[in-house]
Amino acid sequence: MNSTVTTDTLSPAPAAVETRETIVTTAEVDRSSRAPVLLMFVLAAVWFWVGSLLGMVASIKMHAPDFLSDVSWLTYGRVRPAATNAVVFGFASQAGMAVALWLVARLGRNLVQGALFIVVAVLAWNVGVALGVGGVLMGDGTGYECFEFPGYSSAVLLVGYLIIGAFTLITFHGRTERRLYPSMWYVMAALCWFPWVYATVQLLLIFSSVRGVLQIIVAGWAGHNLMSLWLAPLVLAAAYYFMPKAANKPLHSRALAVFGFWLLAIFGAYGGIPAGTPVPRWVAAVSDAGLVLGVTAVLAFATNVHLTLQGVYARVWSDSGAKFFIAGCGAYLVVGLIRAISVIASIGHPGALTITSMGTSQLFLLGFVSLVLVGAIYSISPQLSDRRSERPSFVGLNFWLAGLGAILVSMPLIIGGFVQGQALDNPALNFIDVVRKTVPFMGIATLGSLLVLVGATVLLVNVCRFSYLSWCSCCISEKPSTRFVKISGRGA
Amino acid sequence: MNYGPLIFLGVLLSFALSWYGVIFGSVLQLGNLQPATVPATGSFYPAARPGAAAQGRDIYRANGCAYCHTQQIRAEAEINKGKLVKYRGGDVARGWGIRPSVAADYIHDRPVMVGSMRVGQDLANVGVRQTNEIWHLTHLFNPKLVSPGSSMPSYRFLFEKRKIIRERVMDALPLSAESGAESGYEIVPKPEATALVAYLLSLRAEEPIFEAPAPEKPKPVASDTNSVPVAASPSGVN
Repeated sequence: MNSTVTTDTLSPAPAAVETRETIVTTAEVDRSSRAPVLLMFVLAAVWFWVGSLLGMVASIKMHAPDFLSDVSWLTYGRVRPAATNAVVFGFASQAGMAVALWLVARLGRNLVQGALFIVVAVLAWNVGVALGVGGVLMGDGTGYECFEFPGYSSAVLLVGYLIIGAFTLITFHGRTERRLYPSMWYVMAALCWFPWVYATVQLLLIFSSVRGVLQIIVAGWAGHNLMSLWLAPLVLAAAYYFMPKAANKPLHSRALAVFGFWLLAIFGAYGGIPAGTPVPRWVAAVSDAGLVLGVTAVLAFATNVHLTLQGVYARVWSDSGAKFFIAGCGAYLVVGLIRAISVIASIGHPGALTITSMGTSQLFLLGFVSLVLVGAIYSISPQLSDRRSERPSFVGLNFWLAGLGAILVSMPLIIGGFVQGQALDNPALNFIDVVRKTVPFMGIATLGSLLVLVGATVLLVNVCRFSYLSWCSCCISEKPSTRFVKISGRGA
Repeated sequence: MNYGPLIFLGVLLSFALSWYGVIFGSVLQLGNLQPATVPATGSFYPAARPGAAAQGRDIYRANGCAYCHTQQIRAEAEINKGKLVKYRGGDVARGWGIRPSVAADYIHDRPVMVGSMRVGQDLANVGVRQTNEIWHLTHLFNPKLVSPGSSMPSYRFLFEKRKIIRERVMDALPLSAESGAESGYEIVPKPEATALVAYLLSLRAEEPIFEAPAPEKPKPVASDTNSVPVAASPSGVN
């Protein structure tokens, strides 16, 4: 990535802007976000590694059921949710929030406010994730997909989030650049949607519980929105920022971005309750309609990105960091289309309880969310360290590991699901034989999860190295205490 | 799109629409769903799960059984002249249930674990299909003993391996020597295993109710006036 670009080619006023008190330069903005953002990157990379390891163990168990089965906390039904939650809350949400904070400060030309509070809140968030992953492995999982973290950890998470979110909003509020770039809309929207979704789950499922199938509706709705209106907008914000940067061109169309944003806001909030679920039919119908119409938002985004990159694809692709963004956006398009097609295919054919759903969510998490966020981490970290000449190593290798891993994990499951669905519809076929048909697909998925794990290791090493370098450059040459005072005292 | 408050307002309104529509709307519709009256007998369905089965549901949740096993029968009704002829779909043909699952089946459960993926069999009616407690315990201990070729992991940690003192205790699993039982030792289910099996045996969601009648056995019927009303949709409420 062209991290050396210090002036913001995207905003209409690239020069530093005169504020009430002082002129804020990009270097100052980066210095103010260094501590919280790098801390979140390191911890996110740690959770990505932990989640990938647990994911690989779970994947092995799909075709070798007796692998590690004698230990209660390593049984498949605990490892799988622990892996998903570690990736969703430990890695994706945390890295997403870090990117969001950095984008808000950079695009708004404001110093990060309350960096010390954010650091404390980040630690709380990670204590919450650790309690949650540990709780799930100990058997305290709640039983609601995507929200397995027990109450004692989700409460900590919510408090951590509220502090991080509040200071991101305060930083946003004090911005000196008044024109809002599309990334800012997505960040602000995600920051509003997440607490609503998460609080709904806590209040209606975990701390008290609605009756019967209402739990399915709440969990399905919230699980969908966690992906579609929390992770996706954070990742889209990063993509909207870094794609034009990589192309060294302005975004093709702001109007198309506005259009795509509101389509996501309106249609993205419905989904997660497939037809055939034992709930009132209108709920499933609304959810399916939302999924199909939501494709318009995906298409608007993909068109905008394509038109921005048109003619410069080859040049952008040769940049090792920008590969992550192109591949990630491609995965987003594929996931949207697969979801819409499987909704249409499932009309009048409800028996679709196959591994395809797992494959699609893996493609979303490992293909779209992880690739773009890893790319963002690689683009942002060198800018936060004072030694800008330092480059992350093995970025190309990391890309191929992560990208091929995502394809090998998800595609076999998606295709295997169709095979499984056909077999399930044939009652003459013994159920054991149905399961046997899926085993080869699970085997390929395990190979993919191994690649993902190696990729996560490269990321972890790189991020730790950068944090160490920037810690050396700031905390050994400067006194840390004065630095924090300076940050929290500025821009008030 | 440069005015922050306007974006906030739009973002909140569009999301409120979804929240009030999907969540609040369905709570209004189903939030006070009561047990159904069974047309044939006049009794209530479903009954709350007995104590051991309710404890077993916790074991089922803690070990994430729902990641491989669904608890929902899906089927499309085939209706002829207002009467239910039969249900179509692999679930009914496979013998997993005689009618589709509906909202009333789940009103006593917390959490409700319908599952989303069938790596294992559907368990909505496993208590009807397999009523033998010993079979279930043996299956949990080592699935391949009773179901050759199964891809289910063993749940040995729900059992205790004890040295036999004088003679085997009553509830030790009757394992033969070729099934891997070590001589001088016995396998005794822990309370968790017994509770889990009690839960599995309590999974019987086959009672024909108003919104999910069972198809009548094909036999000549003189008059239609007493037949069970047919609702094709599994919507669960009137």
